[in-house]
Amino acid sequence: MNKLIELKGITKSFDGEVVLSDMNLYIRDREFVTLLGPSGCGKTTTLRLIGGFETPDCGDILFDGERINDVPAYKRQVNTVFQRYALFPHLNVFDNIAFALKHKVPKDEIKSRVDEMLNMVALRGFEHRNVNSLSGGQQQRVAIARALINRPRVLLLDEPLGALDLKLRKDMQFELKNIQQATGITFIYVTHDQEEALSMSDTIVVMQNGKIQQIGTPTDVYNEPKNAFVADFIGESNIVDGVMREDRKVFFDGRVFDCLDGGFEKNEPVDVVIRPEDVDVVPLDRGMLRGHVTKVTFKGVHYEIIVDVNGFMWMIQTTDYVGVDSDIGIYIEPDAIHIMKKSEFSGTIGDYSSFSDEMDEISNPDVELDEHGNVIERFDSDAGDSDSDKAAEEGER
Amino acid sequence: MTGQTLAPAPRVRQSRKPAIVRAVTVAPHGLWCLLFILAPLVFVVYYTFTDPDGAFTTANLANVFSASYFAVLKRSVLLALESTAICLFLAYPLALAIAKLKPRNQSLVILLLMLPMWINLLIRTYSLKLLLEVNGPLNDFLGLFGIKPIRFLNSEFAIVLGMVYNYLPYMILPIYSVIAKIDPRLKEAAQDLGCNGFQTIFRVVLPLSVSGIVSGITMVFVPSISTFFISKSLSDGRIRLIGDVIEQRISLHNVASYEIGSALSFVLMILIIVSMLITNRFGDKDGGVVL
Repeated sequence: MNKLIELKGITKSFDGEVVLSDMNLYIRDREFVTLLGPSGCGKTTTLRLIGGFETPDCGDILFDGERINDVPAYKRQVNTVFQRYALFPHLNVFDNIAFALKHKVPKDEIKSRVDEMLNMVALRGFEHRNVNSLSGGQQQRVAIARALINRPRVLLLDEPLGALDLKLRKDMQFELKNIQQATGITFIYVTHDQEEALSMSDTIVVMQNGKIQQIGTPTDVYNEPKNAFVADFIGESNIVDGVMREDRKVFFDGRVFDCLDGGFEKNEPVDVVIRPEDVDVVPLDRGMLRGHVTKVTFKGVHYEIIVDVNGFMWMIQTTDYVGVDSDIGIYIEPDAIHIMKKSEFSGTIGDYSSFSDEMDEISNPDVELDEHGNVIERFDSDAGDSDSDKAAEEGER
Repeated sequence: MTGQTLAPAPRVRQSRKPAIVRAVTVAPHGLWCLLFILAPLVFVVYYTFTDPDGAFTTANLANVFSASYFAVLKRSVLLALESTAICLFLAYPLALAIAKLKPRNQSLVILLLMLPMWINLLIRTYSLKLLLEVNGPLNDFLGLFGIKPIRFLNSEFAIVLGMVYNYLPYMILPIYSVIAKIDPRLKEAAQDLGCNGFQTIFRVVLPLSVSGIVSGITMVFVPSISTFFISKSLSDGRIRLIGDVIEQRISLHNVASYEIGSALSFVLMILIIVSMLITNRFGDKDGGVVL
């Protein structure tokens, strides 16, 4: 598969604030690529650069090998599904979908192609409806049909499911993936929802601070995160300071653990990632570490417990009930330990003493302080859903 | 019976204040409307349909459509339409351009546009008259290029110019305020779907700003068709519009002239109501007129 879109050394700033710095990325034909990151990470700007709504300060955008920096949006073989849809309120469903074809192809062809689109998005019979009278999910479908009718090479989707409720979002994820596979169009998908990214993408591009943190398949970025940011943003992670004693031997929390990673310097300081679902809770005498349970939350599929291990708060997911204030043994298999090089994010994330959902760190008003003055965020129902779903997915693998 | 079952719904909305309090607070407004809006209208209708003896007649109305008055009526409608059209063609691109500026500059330009409105209409019109005089600044300026003095005044051109000059802001403001509120992503969506700048304006911005155009047209056409001062001062009373005739008739202070003045006012009112009904019909599609 060839490189359809290539970004070379792209830098972009708004009012002196750098949004993207020296970004390099290529996207292959027929690929489902997701740009994933928290708000303000530069993912939407990247999409707008490809769509032609922004021009880079420096660097080149190549499309099929040709530089398209100066090609205006209306001449690019790229169409966009906008955040909150941006449907034309003065046109009905039919005219919205037909917009790109009007005055360009014969009327009967427009009719048949709109019909084809309406079939694809399951909106037959809605032709003459006012777009303002449609539900969020239906508007979403119109937006997708409108963007696909001109048979673009690339479809850009800017948080397309952000305004939908959870159930509808799941259905649409599935449908979008089907549409992508059926049409063979390259999808570039922007989201801050790591679960959405994991379940739909061929390739995930994790971004933060205007830089790409990692590019890889969903399993790569989940199982082999490159740095503490990726490990923390995608799924839940306990990130502990460690020292690499030698290949396949890592020292943390006062003892040496066997692991599967190597290739580090002798005695190199590293970040050690242990996923909450990979930790086994065992009787004290069989534990490699011992911890004190400080909080237990029932999540349906499992319990989520916060455990104090030598002053560092771990999150552990276990199907066996453990009581608050009990002492437990912790057992970690060698393949549950993932070693990462130190990065700018080291030490800033990965401890669950200030557990929060990365998505609504600031916007969530339901914050409370614990006795140390740290912010504890309530476990809201949404987070609970995505966590248990993730666990279910893990179980299937 | 059905009326009774429906009755409780609106009652919920009523304030809990006692009826007497409501009556007292509403009274001044009601009195005002009665004295200064309803009563004059009743008089206009009364004088239109009565002769000096107070008997019913349609002669006054027929008189309006006699040759001399009808010419004035026709001229008034034509000049008002002309100035409204010119205002629209000047204002729309300007409103588009203003809406493209940075927000801070937008409010500055709007302030500059509003600035002349702080000066009395009479003074503005007198200054325009001075500018247009045969030996006025405009002809002095044109003289620099070897153009002989032009007699601008006393022409329909001068009157239309006066209307456009005075009423242009009333066209720009409503159009601008509607355009400025259009979601920028809709324009991006149009470009995304293959529209260049012009196509974006004609296929998205224009249809979405119809309500602004409608209120602009109403706000320029209505004062244009009923003006008397602009035409009087810019033509030295030589070109008369319906407003001038009404003013002249009413100021004669005799019953006969009240009657023809009222009949003219009555016809003018009907004209304005009809034109507003027509324009509002276009505007209503987008959810009403934005003033």
